[in-house]
Amino acid sequence: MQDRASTMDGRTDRQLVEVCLAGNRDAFAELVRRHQDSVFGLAVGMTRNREDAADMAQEAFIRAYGKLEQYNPGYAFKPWVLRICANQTKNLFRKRTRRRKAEEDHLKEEAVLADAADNDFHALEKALSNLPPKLCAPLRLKFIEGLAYDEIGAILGIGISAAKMRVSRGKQRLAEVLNNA
Amino acid sequence: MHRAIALALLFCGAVPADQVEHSSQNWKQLRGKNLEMGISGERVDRVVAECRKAGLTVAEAEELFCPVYAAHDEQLPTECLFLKIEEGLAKGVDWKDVHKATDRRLECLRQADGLVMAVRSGRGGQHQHLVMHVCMAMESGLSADVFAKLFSRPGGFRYGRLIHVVEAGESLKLEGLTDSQVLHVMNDCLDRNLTGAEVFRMVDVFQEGFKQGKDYDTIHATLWVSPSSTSSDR
Amino acid sequence: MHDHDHLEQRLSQHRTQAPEGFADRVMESLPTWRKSERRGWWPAHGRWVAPALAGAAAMFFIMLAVPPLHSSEQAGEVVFHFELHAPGADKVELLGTFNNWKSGDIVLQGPDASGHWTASVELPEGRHEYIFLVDGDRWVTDPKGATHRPDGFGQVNTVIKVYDEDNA
Repeated sequence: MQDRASTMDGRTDRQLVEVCLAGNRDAFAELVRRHQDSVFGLAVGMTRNREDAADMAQEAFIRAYGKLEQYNPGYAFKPWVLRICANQTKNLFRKRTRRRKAEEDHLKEEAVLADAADNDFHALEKALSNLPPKLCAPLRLKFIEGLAYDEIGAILGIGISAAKMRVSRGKQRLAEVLNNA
Repeated sequence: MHRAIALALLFCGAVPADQVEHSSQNWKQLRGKNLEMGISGERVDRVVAECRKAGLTVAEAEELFCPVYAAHDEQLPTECLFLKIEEGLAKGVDWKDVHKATDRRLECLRQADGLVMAVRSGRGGQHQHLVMHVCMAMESGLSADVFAKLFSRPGGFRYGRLIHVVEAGESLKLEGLTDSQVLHVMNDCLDRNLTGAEVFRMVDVFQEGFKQGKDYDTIHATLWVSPSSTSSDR
Repeated sequence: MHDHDHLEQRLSQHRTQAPEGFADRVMESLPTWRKSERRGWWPAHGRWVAPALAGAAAMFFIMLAVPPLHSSEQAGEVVFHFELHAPGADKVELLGTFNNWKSGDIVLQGPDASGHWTASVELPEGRHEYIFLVDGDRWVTDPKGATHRPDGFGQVNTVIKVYDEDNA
Protein backbone atom coordinates (compact mmCIF):
# COMPACT_ATOMS: atom_id res chain seq x y z
CA MET A 1 0.00 0.00 0.00
CA GLN A 2 1.30 3.41 -0.91
CA ASP A 3 1.88 5.72 1.98
CA ARG A 4 0.62 9.24 1.91
CA ALA A 5 3.96 10.75 1.01
CA SER A 6 3.88 8.51 -2.07
CA THR A 7 7.57 7.87 -2.09
CA MET A 8 7.03 4.51 -3.77
CA ASP A 9 5.76 6.07 -7.00
CA GLY A 10 8.75 7.94 -8.39
CA ARG A 11 6.84 9.76 -11.11
CA THR A 12 6.59 13.54 -10.91
CA ASP A 13 3.22 15.25 -10.63
CA ARG A 14 3.58 16.39 -14.23
CA GLN A 15 4.13 12.85 -15.39
CA LEU A 16 1.14 11.64 -13.44
CA VAL A 17 -1.04 14.33 -15.03
CA GLU A 18 0.13 13.31 -18.49
CA VAL A 19 -0.59 9.66 -17.77
CA CYS A 20 -4.01 10.57 -16.40
CA LEU A 21 -4.81 12.69 -19.45
CA ALA A 22 -3.92 9.68 -21.53
CA GLY A 23 -6.69 7.78 -19.76
CA ASN A 24 -5.12 6.24 -16.65
CA ARG A 25 -7.29 7.08 -13.63
CA ASP A 26 -4.95 5.41 -11.15
CA ALA A 27 -2.41 8.10 -11.85
CA PHE A 28 -4.89 10.61 -10.43
CA ALA A 29 -5.28 8.48 -7.31
CA GLU A 30 -1.55 8.91 -6.71
CA LEU A 31 -1.92 12.68 -7.09
CA VAL A 32 -4.73 12.64 -4.54
CA ARG A 33 -2.67 10.62 -2.09
CA ARG A 34 0.28 12.97 -2.45
CA HIS A 35 -1.66 16.16 -1.89
CA GLN A 36 -4.68 15.17 0.18
CA ASP A 37 -3.18 16.34 3.47
CA SER A 38 -2.28 19.73 2.03
CA VAL A 39 -5.70 20.26 0.47
CA PHE A 40 -7.53 18.95 3.51
CA GLY A 41 -5.40 21.12 5.78
CA LEU A 42 -6.26 24.25 3.80
CA ALA A 43 -9.93 23.34 3.86
CA VAL A 44 -9.77 22.84 7.63
CA GLY A 45 -8.13 26.24 7.93
CA MET A 46 -10.94 27.82 5.90
CA THR A 47 -13.93 25.98 7.30
CA ARG A 48 -12.83 25.10 10.85
CA ASN A 49 -14.90 21.96 10.62
CA ARG A 50 -13.30 18.64 9.71
CA GLU A 51 -16.37 17.15 8.10
CA ASP A 52 -16.98 20.16 5.89
CA ALA A 53 -13.27 20.31 5.13
CA ALA A 54 -13.31 16.72 3.94
CA ASP A 55 -16.25 17.53 1.66
CA MET A 56 -14.52 20.61 0.29
CA ALA A 57 -11.24 18.79 -0.24
CA GLN A 58 -12.97 15.93 -2.02
CA GLU A 59 -14.84 18.39 -4.21
CA ALA A 60 -11.58 20.19 -5.02
CA PHE A 61 -9.98 17.02 -6.32
CA ILE A 62 -13.05 16.15 -8.35
CA ARG A 63 -12.95 19.59 -9.96
CA ALA A 64 -9.24 19.33 -10.55
CA TYR A 65 -9.82 16.04 -12.31
CA GLY A 66 -12.39 17.68 -14.55
CA LYS A 67 -10.03 20.54 -15.39
CA LEU A 68 -6.85 18.61 -15.76
CA GLU A 69 -6.28 19.87 -19.31
CA GLN A 70 -6.11 23.39 -17.90
CA TYR A 71 -3.30 22.54 -15.54
CA ASN A 72 -0.04 24.10 -16.61
CA PRO A 73 2.68 21.50 -16.00
CA GLY A 74 5.24 24.29 -15.91
CA TYR A 75 4.02 25.02 -12.41
CA ALA A 76 3.63 22.91 -9.33
CA PHE A 77 0.46 20.84 -9.09
CA LYS A 78 -0.06 21.46 -5.38
CA PRO A 79 -0.67 25.24 -5.55
CA TRP A 80 -3.00 24.66 -8.51
CA VAL A 81 -5.23 22.23 -6.68
CA LEU A 82 -5.01 24.36 -3.51
CA ARG A 83 -6.33 27.30 -5.50
CA ILE A 84 -9.24 25.23 -6.75
CA CYS A 85 -9.95 24.22 -3.17
CA ALA A 86 -9.77 27.81 -1.88
CA ASN A 87 -12.05 29.20 -4.59
CA GLN A 88 -14.73 26.61 -4.33
CA THR A 89 -14.64 26.48 -0.53
CA LYS A 90 -15.40 30.19 -0.51
CA ASN A 91 -18.32 29.67 -2.86
CA LEU A 92 -19.80 26.29 -1.99
CA PHE A 93 -19.25 26.48 1.73
CA ARG A 94 -21.08 29.71 2.38
CA LYS A 95 -24.16 28.41 0.55
CA ARG A 96 -24.36 25.48 2.93
CA THR A 97 -27.33 25.77 5.22
CA ARG A 98 -26.62 22.78 7.37
CA ARG A 99 -23.53 22.88 9.55
CA ARG A 100 -22.47 20.57 12.29
CA LYS A 101 -22.91 23.06 15.10
CA ALA A 102 -21.52 20.89 17.84
CA GLU A 103 -18.34 20.24 15.92
CA GLU A 104 -18.08 23.93 14.98
CA ASP A 105 -18.16 24.80 18.66
CA HIS A 106 -15.47 22.27 19.41
CA LEU A 107 -13.17 23.82 16.89
CA LYS A 108 -13.94 27.43 17.63
CA GLU A 109 -13.88 27.34 21.38
CA GLU A 110 -12.24 24.32 22.87
CA ALA A 111 -11.14 21.95 20.11
CA VAL A 112 -11.60 18.88 22.30
CA LEU A 113 -10.31 15.93 20.35
CA ALA A 114 -11.73 12.45 20.88
CA ASP A 115 -8.45 11.04 22.09
CA ALA A 116 -7.33 14.26 23.72
CA ALA A 117 -3.84 13.21 24.79
CA ASP A 118 -2.40 16.68 24.88
CA ASN A 119 0.71 16.17 22.80
CA ASP A 120 2.46 18.68 20.59
CA PHE A 121 0.47 17.84 17.45
CA HIS A 122 -2.90 18.26 19.12
CA ALA A 123 -1.85 21.44 20.87
CA LEU A 124 -0.83 23.04 17.60
CA GLU A 125 -3.86 21.76 15.71
CA LYS A 126 -6.11 23.06 18.47
CA ALA A 127 -4.36 26.42 18.42
CA LEU A 128 -4.66 26.66 14.64
CA SER A 129 -8.36 25.95 14.90
CA ASN A 130 -8.69 29.00 17.13
CA LEU A 131 -7.53 31.29 14.37
CA PRO A 132 -10.04 32.93 12.05
CA PRO A 133 -9.96 31.41 8.53
CA LYS A 134 -8.63 34.67 7.10
CA LEU A 135 -5.42 34.21 9.10
CA CYS A 136 -5.27 30.44 9.43
CA ALA A 137 -5.35 29.66 5.72
CA PRO A 138 -2.38 31.92 4.74
CA LEU A 139 -0.43 30.73 7.78
CA ARG A 140 -0.91 27.09 6.83
CA LEU A 141 0.06 27.76 3.24
CA LYS A 142 3.21 29.60 4.26
CA PHE A 143 4.67 27.40 6.95
CA ILE A 144 3.01 24.01 6.63
CA GLU A 145 2.92 23.91 2.84
CA GLY A 146 6.05 26.02 2.37
CA LEU A 147 4.58 28.21 -0.36
CA ALA A 148 5.84 31.61 -1.46
CA TYR A 149 3.78 34.74 -0.84
CA ASP A 150 2.90 35.15 -4.51
CA GLU A 151 1.60 31.59 -4.60
CA ILE A 152 -0.37 32.18 -1.41
CA GLY A 153 -1.84 35.33 -2.91
CA ALA A 154 -2.81 33.49 -6.09
CA ILE A 155 -4.42 30.65 -4.16
CA LEU A 156 -6.45 32.86 -1.85
CA GLY A 157 -7.13 35.62 -4.34
CA ILE A 158 -5.37 38.34 -2.37
CA GLY A 159 -2.40 40.59 -3.04
CA ILE A 160 1.14 39.70 -1.97
CA SER A 161 1.25 42.39 0.71
CA ALA A 162 -2.09 41.21 2.07
CA ALA A 163 -0.71 37.68 2.16
CA LYS A 164 2.36 38.87 4.08
CA MET A 165 0.29 40.84 6.52
CA ARG A 166 -2.08 37.97 7.19
CA VAL A 167 0.77 35.52 7.69
CA SER A 168 2.41 37.93 10.11
CA ARG A 169 -0.81 38.52 12.02
CA GLY A 170 -1.65 34.83 11.96
CA LYS A 171 1.71 33.96 13.44
CA GLN A 172 1.27 36.56 16.14
CA ARG A 173 -2.21 35.38 16.97
CA LEU A 174 -1.08 31.74 17.02
CA ALA A 175 1.72 32.61 19.41
CA GLU A 176 -0.78 34.34 21.69
CA VAL A 177 -3.11 31.35 21.63
CA LEU A 178 -0.30 28.93 22.39
CA ASN A 179 0.93 31.18 25.18
CA ASN A 180 -2.48 31.17 26.78
CA ALA A 181 -3.06 27.42 26.37
CA MET B 1 5.46 71.98 15.48
CA HIS B 2 5.10 72.99 19.12
CA ARG B 3 1.48 73.99 18.53
CA ALA B 4 0.81 70.57 17.04
CA ILE B 5 2.33 68.87 20.05
CA ALA B 6 0.39 71.08 22.47
CA LEU B 7 -2.88 70.38 20.68
CA ALA B 8 -2.16 66.67 20.62
CA LEU B 9 -1.37 66.68 24.34
CA LEU B 10 -4.58 68.52 25.05
CA PHE B 11 -6.82 66.10 23.18
CA CYS B 12 -5.05 62.79 23.26
CA GLY B 13 -5.09 62.24 26.97
CA ALA B 14 -3.34 58.97 27.62
CA VAL B 15 -1.39 58.82 24.36
CA PRO B 16 2.19 57.90 25.29
CA ALA B 17 4.82 60.62 24.97
CA ASP B 18 6.74 58.93 22.21
CA GLN B 19 3.66 58.87 19.98
CA VAL B 20 3.05 62.58 20.53
CA GLU B 21 6.61 63.56 19.87
CA HIS B 22 6.29 62.01 16.44
CA SER B 23 3.32 64.12 15.30
CA SER B 24 2.92 64.20 11.56
CA GLN B 25 4.33 67.26 9.88
CA ASN B 26 2.50 66.79 6.64
CA TRP B 27 -0.21 64.73 4.99
CA LYS B 28 2.28 62.19 3.72
CA GLN B 29 3.55 61.45 7.21
CA LEU B 30 0.01 61.25 8.52
CA ARG B 31 -0.84 58.80 5.77
CA GLY B 32 2.21 56.70 6.54
CA LYS B 33 1.38 56.58 10.22
CA ASN B 34 -2.09 55.25 9.51
CA LEU B 35 -0.79 52.69 7.07
CA GLU B 36 1.44 51.41 9.87
CA MET B 37 -1.73 50.74 11.89
CA GLY B 38 -2.66 48.20 9.26
CA ILE B 39 -5.45 50.28 7.71
CA SER B 40 -5.56 49.80 3.93
CA GLY B 41 -4.16 52.45 1.64
CA GLU B 42 -7.51 52.97 -0.05
CA ARG B 43 -9.26 53.71 3.25
CA VAL B 44 -6.51 55.95 4.56
CA ASP B 45 -6.40 57.92 1.32
CA ARG B 46 -10.15 58.38 1.33
CA VAL B 47 -10.25 59.63 4.92
CA VAL B 48 -7.29 61.93 4.39
CA ALA B 49 -9.03 63.32 1.30
CA GLU B 50 -12.21 63.89 3.36
CA CYS B 51 -10.18 65.69 6.02
CA ARG B 52 -8.56 67.96 3.45
CA LYS B 53 -11.90 68.58 1.73
CA ALA B 54 -13.36 69.56 5.10
CA GLY B 55 -10.55 72.08 5.53
CA LEU B 56 -8.73 70.35 8.38
CA THR B 57 -5.09 71.12 9.01
CA VAL B 58 -2.62 68.29 9.44
CA ALA B 59 -2.60 68.90 13.19
CA GLU B 60 -6.37 68.69 13.37
CA ALA B 61 -6.43 65.51 11.34
CA GLU B 62 -3.74 64.13 13.64
CA GLU B 63 -5.98 64.84 16.62
CA LEU B 64 -8.80 63.09 14.86
CA PHE B 65 -6.71 59.95 14.49
CA CYS B 66 -5.29 60.12 18.02
CA PRO B 67 -7.71 57.55 19.45
CA VAL B 68 -6.67 55.10 16.71
CA TYR B 69 -2.98 55.56 17.55
CA ALA B 70 -3.69 55.19 21.24
CA ALA B 71 -5.66 51.99 20.73
CA HIS B 72 -2.87 50.57 18.58
CA ASP B 73 -0.34 51.32 21.29
CA GLU B 74 -2.53 49.72 23.93
CA GLN B 75 -3.16 46.56 21.84
CA LEU B 76 -6.83 47.39 21.53
CA PRO B 77 -8.83 46.83 18.32
CA THR B 78 -8.40 49.84 16.04
CA GLU B 79 -10.82 48.91 13.28
CA CYS B 80 -13.96 50.06 15.08
CA LEU B 81 -12.32 53.41 15.88
CA PHE B 82 -11.27 54.06 12.31
CA LEU B 83 -14.80 53.08 11.25
CA LYS B 84 -16.25 55.71 13.56
CA ILE B 85 -14.08 58.35 11.94
CA GLU B 86 -15.15 57.18 8.49
CA GLU B 87 -18.78 57.24 9.57
CA GLY B 88 -18.58 60.74 10.96
CA LEU B 89 -16.81 62.17 7.94
CA ALA B 90 -19.20 60.40 5.55
CA LYS B 91 -22.13 61.95 7.41
CA GLY B 92 -20.62 65.41 7.12
CA VAL B 93 -20.16 65.82 10.86
CA ASP B 94 -17.84 68.50 12.24
CA TRP B 95 -14.46 66.94 12.96
CA LYS B 96 -14.50 67.91 16.64
CA ASP B 97 -17.75 65.99 17.11
CA VAL B 98 -16.28 63.03 15.23
CA HIS B 99 -13.30 63.20 17.56
CA LYS B 100 -15.55 63.24 20.63
CA ALA B 101 -17.47 60.20 19.40
CA THR B 102 -14.26 58.34 18.60
CA ASP B 103 -12.80 59.25 21.99
CA ARG B 104 -15.93 57.93 23.67
CA ARG B 105 -15.63 54.69 21.76
CA LEU B 106 -11.97 54.41 22.81
CA GLU B 107 -13.01 54.82 26.41
CA CYS B 108 -15.56 52.04 26.01
CA LEU B 109 -12.88 49.87 24.40
CA ARG B 110 -10.50 50.45 27.31
CA GLN B 111 -13.19 49.57 29.83
CA ALA B 112 -14.24 46.52 27.84
CA ASP B 113 -10.66 45.30 27.59
CA GLY B 114 -10.15 45.78 31.33
CA LEU B 115 -13.33 43.87 32.11
CA VAL B 116 -12.39 40.92 29.93
CA MET B 117 -8.76 40.92 31.08
CA ALA B 118 -9.92 40.78 34.69
CA VAL B 119 -11.23 37.27 34.12
CA ARG B 120 -8.86 36.00 31.43
CA SER B 121 -5.13 35.47 31.65
CA GLY B 122 -4.29 36.99 28.29
CA ARG B 123 -5.50 38.37 25.01
CA GLY B 124 -5.66 35.10 23.16
CA GLY B 125 -8.37 33.45 21.15
CA GLN B 126 -11.37 35.63 20.39
CA HIS B 127 -10.46 38.24 22.97
CA GLN B 128 -10.52 41.17 20.54
CA HIS B 129 -13.92 40.11 19.16
CA LEU B 130 -15.40 39.95 22.63
CA VAL B 131 -13.84 43.28 23.57
CA MET B 132 -15.29 44.89 20.45
CA HIS B 133 -18.78 43.57 21.13
CA VAL B 134 -18.68 44.63 24.78
CA CYS B 135 -17.48 48.05 23.65
CA MET B 136 -20.46 48.41 21.30
CA ALA B 137 -22.85 47.29 23.99
CA MET B 138 -21.41 49.82 26.43
CA GLU B 139 -21.57 52.52 23.79
CA SER B 140 -25.26 51.60 23.45
CA GLY B 141 -25.72 52.23 27.15
CA LEU B 142 -25.00 49.03 29.05
CA SER B 143 -22.91 49.75 32.13
CA ALA B 144 -19.53 48.26 32.98
CA ASP B 145 -21.15 46.80 36.09
CA VAL B 146 -23.37 44.54 33.97
CA PHE B 147 -20.33 42.98 32.34
CA ALA B 148 -18.35 42.77 35.54
CA LYS B 149 -21.17 40.67 36.98
CA LEU B 150 -21.67 38.66 33.80
CA PHE B 151 -18.00 37.75 33.44
CA SER B 152 -17.65 36.75 37.06
CA ARG B 153 -20.50 34.25 36.91
CA PRO B 154 -19.58 30.80 38.28
CA GLY B 155 -18.28 28.44 35.63
CA GLY B 156 -16.74 31.09 33.43
CA PHE B 157 -17.71 31.43 29.78
CA ARG B 158 -16.91 30.39 26.27
CA TYR B 159 -16.09 33.16 23.85
CA GLY B 160 -18.37 32.07 21.02
CA ARG B 161 -21.48 31.76 23.15
CA LEU B 162 -20.73 34.89 25.12
CA ILE B 163 -20.29 37.09 22.05
CA HIS B 164 -23.82 36.29 20.87
CA VAL B 165 -25.19 36.91 24.34
CA VAL B 166 -23.45 40.29 24.48
CA GLU B 167 -24.91 41.16 21.07
CA ALA B 168 -28.33 40.24 22.41
CA GLY B 169 -27.73 42.35 25.50
CA GLU B 170 -26.97 45.36 23.32
CA SER B 171 -30.18 44.83 21.31
CA LEU B 172 -32.26 44.54 24.46
CA LYS B 173 -30.69 47.65 25.95
CA LEU B 174 -31.55 49.54 22.77
CA GLU B 175 -35.13 48.31 23.21
CA GLY B 176 -35.21 50.10 26.53
CA LEU B 177 -34.63 47.34 29.07
CA THR B 178 -32.86 48.31 32.28
CA ASP B 179 -29.37 47.05 33.01
CA SER B 180 -30.64 44.54 35.58
CA GLN B 181 -33.25 43.19 33.16
CA VAL B 182 -30.62 42.80 30.44
CA LEU B 183 -28.23 41.08 32.85
CA HIS B 184 -31.00 38.71 33.96
CA VAL B 185 -31.74 37.69 30.36
CA MET B 186 -28.07 37.33 29.44
CA ASN B 187 -27.54 35.03 32.40
CA ASP B 188 -30.64 33.07 31.37
CA CYS B 189 -29.08 32.48 27.95
CA LEU B 190 -25.78 31.35 29.40
CA ASP B 191 -27.46 29.15 32.01
CA ARG B 192 -29.37 27.40 29.25
CA ASN B 193 -26.28 27.22 27.02
CA LEU B 194 -28.28 28.60 24.10
CA THR B 195 -26.80 28.60 20.63
CA GLY B 196 -26.45 31.88 18.75
CA ALA B 197 -29.57 31.13 16.71
CA GLU B 198 -31.57 30.53 19.87
CA VAL B 199 -30.26 33.75 21.42
CA PHE B 200 -31.31 35.74 18.36
CA ARG B 201 -34.75 34.14 18.42
CA MET B 202 -35.05 35.19 22.02
CA VAL B 203 -34.29 38.79 21.04
CA ASP B 204 -36.91 38.53 18.28
CA VAL B 205 -39.47 37.43 20.86
CA PHE B 206 -38.76 40.49 22.98
CA GLN B 207 -38.83 42.87 20.02
CA GLU B 208 -42.08 41.38 18.72
CA GLY B 209 -43.56 41.51 22.20
CA PHE B 210 -42.70 45.18 22.65
CA LYS B 211 -44.25 45.98 19.28
CA GLN B 212 -47.42 44.35 20.52
CA GLY B 213 -47.34 46.56 23.57
CA LYS B 214 -46.32 43.90 26.10
CA ASP B 215 -43.98 44.74 28.95
CA TYR B 216 -40.77 43.03 29.99
CA ASP B 217 -42.28 40.93 32.78
CA THR B 218 -45.06 39.59 30.55
CA ILE B 219 -42.64 38.61 27.80
CA HIS B 220 -40.06 37.15 30.19
CA ALA B 221 -42.66 35.06 32.02
CA THR B 222 -43.40 33.07 28.87
CA LEU B 223 -39.88 33.05 27.46
CA TRP B 224 -38.54 29.77 28.83
CA VAL B 225 -41.78 27.88 29.13
CA SER B 226 -41.67 26.11 25.76
CA PRO B 227 -39.38 23.04 25.83
CA SER B 228 -38.07 23.95 22.36
CA SER B 229 -36.57 27.16 23.72
CA THR B 230 -34.14 25.43 26.06
CA SER B 231 -30.98 23.53 25.39
CA SER B 232 -30.15 22.37 28.86
CA ASP B 233 -29.21 18.93 27.57
CA ARG B 234 -26.20 20.24 25.63
CA MET C 1 6.31 34.37 24.75
CA HIS C 2 6.72 31.70 22.06
CA ASP C 3 9.81 32.18 20.02
CA HIS C 4 8.60 32.89 16.49
CA ASP C 5 11.38 30.90 14.86
CA HIS C 6 10.49 27.90 16.98
CA LEU C 7 6.86 28.38 16.05
CA GLU C 8 7.72 28.44 12.35
CA GLN C 9 9.69 25.26 12.77
CA ARG C 10 6.80 23.58 14.54
CA LEU C 11 4.46 24.64 11.78
CA SER C 12 6.79 23.40 9.06
CA GLN C 13 6.75 19.96 10.65
CA HIS C 14 3.00 19.94 11.22
CA ARG C 15 0.61 18.00 9.02
CA THR C 16 -3.15 17.91 9.20
CA GLN C 17 -3.92 14.46 7.95
CA ALA C 18 -6.82 13.82 5.63
CA PRO C 19 -9.31 11.29 6.98
CA GLU C 20 -8.68 7.61 6.48
CA GLY C 21 -9.92 6.41 3.10
CA PHE C 22 -10.08 9.91 1.66
CA ALA C 23 -8.35 9.05 -1.61
CA ASP C 24 -10.65 6.08 -2.14
CA ARG C 25 -13.70 8.26 -1.64
CA VAL C 26 -12.39 10.79 -4.16
CA MET C 27 -11.76 8.12 -6.77
CA GLU C 28 -15.20 6.64 -6.23
CA SER C 29 -16.73 10.06 -6.83
CA LEU C 30 -14.89 10.81 -10.04
CA PRO C 31 -16.89 10.75 -13.26
CA THR C 32 -16.12 7.76 -15.43
CA TRP C 33 -15.38 10.10 -18.30
CA ARG C 34 -13.50 13.35 -18.62
CA LYS C 35 -14.02 16.17 -21.13
CA SER C 36 -11.11 16.53 -23.49
CA GLU C 37 -11.87 19.98 -24.92
CA ARG C 38 -9.13 22.54 -24.61
CA ARG C 39 -9.17 26.27 -24.34
CA GLY C 40 -8.28 27.98 -27.61
CA TRP C 41 -5.23 29.77 -26.27
CA TRP C 42 -3.78 26.77 -24.47
CA PRO C 43 -1.02 24.96 -26.35
CA ALA C 44 -2.17 21.43 -27.16
CA HIS C 45 1.27 19.84 -27.04
CA GLY C 46 4.88 20.37 -26.28
CA ARG C 47 6.51 23.41 -24.95
CA TRP C 48 4.96 25.54 -22.21
CA VAL C 49 5.97 29.14 -22.50
CA ALA C 50 5.16 30.05 -18.91
CA PRO C 51 8.28 28.69 -17.17
CA ALA C 52 10.39 31.19 -19.08
CA LEU C 53 8.40 34.10 -17.65
CA ALA C 54 8.84 35.79 -14.30
CA GLY C 55 6.87 38.01 -11.96
CA ALA C 56 3.52 39.36 -13.04
CA ALA C 57 3.47 37.52 -16.34
CA ALA C 58 4.04 34.21 -14.58
CA MET C 59 1.29 35.06 -12.15
CA PHE C 60 -1.02 35.75 -15.10
CA PHE C 61 -0.47 32.22 -16.37
CA ILE C 62 -1.09 30.70 -12.96
CA MET C 63 -4.30 32.63 -12.63
CA LEU C 64 -5.52 31.59 -16.07
CA ALA C 65 -5.13 27.96 -15.12
CA VAL C 66 -7.86 28.07 -12.52
CA PRO C 67 -11.45 29.30 -12.33
CA PRO C 68 -11.93 33.06 -12.09
CA LEU C 69 -11.96 34.59 -8.62
CA HIS C 70 -15.13 35.66 -6.94
CA SER C 71 -15.30 38.98 -5.20
CA SER C 72 -15.63 37.66 -1.66
CA GLU C 73 -12.32 37.11 -0.02
CA GLN C 74 -13.24 34.71 2.66
CA ALA C 75 -15.67 31.99 3.62
CA GLY C 76 -18.44 33.00 6.04
CA GLU C 77 -20.28 35.58 3.97
CA VAL C 78 -24.03 35.79 3.86
CA VAL C 79 -26.21 37.52 1.30
CA PHE C 80 -28.42 40.13 2.95
CA HIS C 81 -31.31 41.83 1.21
CA PHE C 82 -31.78 45.58 1.76
CA GLU C 83 -34.93 47.41 0.79
CA LEU C 84 -36.28 50.95 1.15
CA HIS C 85 -39.60 52.40 0.09
CA ALA C 86 -38.72 55.79 -1.42
CA PRO C 87 -40.95 56.39 -4.44
CA GLY C 88 -39.93 60.03 -4.90
CA ALA C 89 -36.19 59.47 -4.72
CA ASP C 90 -33.72 59.71 -7.58
CA LYS C 91 -30.95 57.78 -5.89
CA VAL C 92 -30.66 55.60 -2.79
CA GLU C 93 -27.29 54.57 -1.43
CA LEU C 94 -26.37 52.19 1.35
CA LEU C 95 -23.60 53.10 3.77
CA GLY C 96 -22.49 50.96 6.65
CA THR C 97 -19.72 49.28 8.53
CA PHE C 98 -19.47 46.65 5.79
CA ASN C 99 -18.34 49.21 3.21
CA ASN C 100 -16.57 51.60 5.58
CA TRP C 101 -19.40 54.15 5.20
CA LYS C 102 -18.34 54.81 1.64
CA SER C 103 -20.81 56.75 -0.46
CA GLY C 104 -21.29 55.71 -4.07
CA ASP C 105 -20.26 52.17 -3.26
CA ILE C 106 -23.62 50.40 -2.91
CA VAL C 107 -26.40 52.02 -4.88
CA LEU C 108 -29.81 50.41 -4.62
CA GLN C 109 -31.71 49.50 -7.75
CA GLY C 110 -35.09 51.01 -8.29
CA PRO C 111 -37.61 52.29 -7.91
CA ASP C 112 -39.86 49.45 -8.94
CA ALA C 113 -43.54 49.98 -9.70
CA SER C 114 -44.34 50.21 -6.01
CA GLY C 115 -41.54 52.66 -5.26
CA HIS C 116 -39.14 50.20 -3.65
CA TRP C 117 -35.38 50.30 -3.93
CA THR C 118 -33.42 47.10 -3.33
CA ALA C 119 -29.93 45.66 -3.11
CA SER C 120 -28.63 42.22 -2.21
CA VAL C 121 -25.20 42.44 -0.63
CA GLU C 122 -22.75 39.80 0.53
CA LEU C 123 -21.87 40.61 4.10
CA PRO C 124 -19.20 39.01 6.24
CA GLU C 125 -20.72 37.25 9.22
CA GLY C 126 -21.01 39.35 12.33
CA ARG C 127 -22.45 42.64 13.56
CA HIS C 128 -23.11 45.50 11.13
CA GLU C 129 -24.60 48.98 11.23
CA TYR C 130 -26.00 50.85 8.26
CA ILE C 131 -28.11 53.75 7.05
CA PHE C 132 -29.55 54.84 3.71
CA LEU C 133 -28.54 58.06 1.95
CA VAL C 134 -31.33 59.37 -0.26
CA ASP C 135 -30.54 61.79 -3.08
CA GLY C 136 -27.14 62.49 -1.64
CA ASP C 137 -28.30 64.60 1.26
CA ARG C 138 -30.96 62.86 3.32
CA TRP C 139 -30.10 60.20 5.89
CA VAL C 140 -32.87 57.65 6.31
CA THR C 141 -33.00 54.93 8.96
CA ASP C 142 -34.32 51.60 7.72
CA PRO C 143 -37.87 51.57 9.08
CA LYS C 144 -37.96 47.78 8.77
CA GLY C 145 -34.84 47.31 10.87
CA ALA C 146 -35.50 45.61 14.19
CA THR C 147 -32.69 47.28 16.13
CA HIS C 148 -32.07 51.00 15.89
CA ARG C 149 -29.07 52.69 17.45
CA PRO C 150 -28.24 56.38 17.78
CA ASP C 151 -24.97 57.08 15.98
CA GLY C 152 -23.83 59.87 18.28
CA PHE C 153 -24.14 62.35 15.39
CA GLY C 154 -27.88 62.89 15.47
CA GLN C 155 -28.82 60.09 13.11
CA VAL C 156 -30.01 56.57 13.83
CA ASN C 157 -28.35 53.51 12.34
CA THR C 158 -29.83 50.05 12.04
CA VAL C 159 -27.93 47.18 13.64
CA ILE C 160 -28.02 43.72 12.13
CA LYS C 161 -26.33 40.49 13.08
CA VAL C 162 -25.65 38.30 10.12
CA TYR C 163 -24.72 34.67 10.49
CA ASP C 164 -24.99 31.68 8.20
CA GLU C 165 -28.15 29.87 9.22
CA ASP C 166 -26.75 27.20 11.49
CA ASN C 167 -23.52 29.00 12.13
CA ALA C 168 -24.86 31.34 14.80
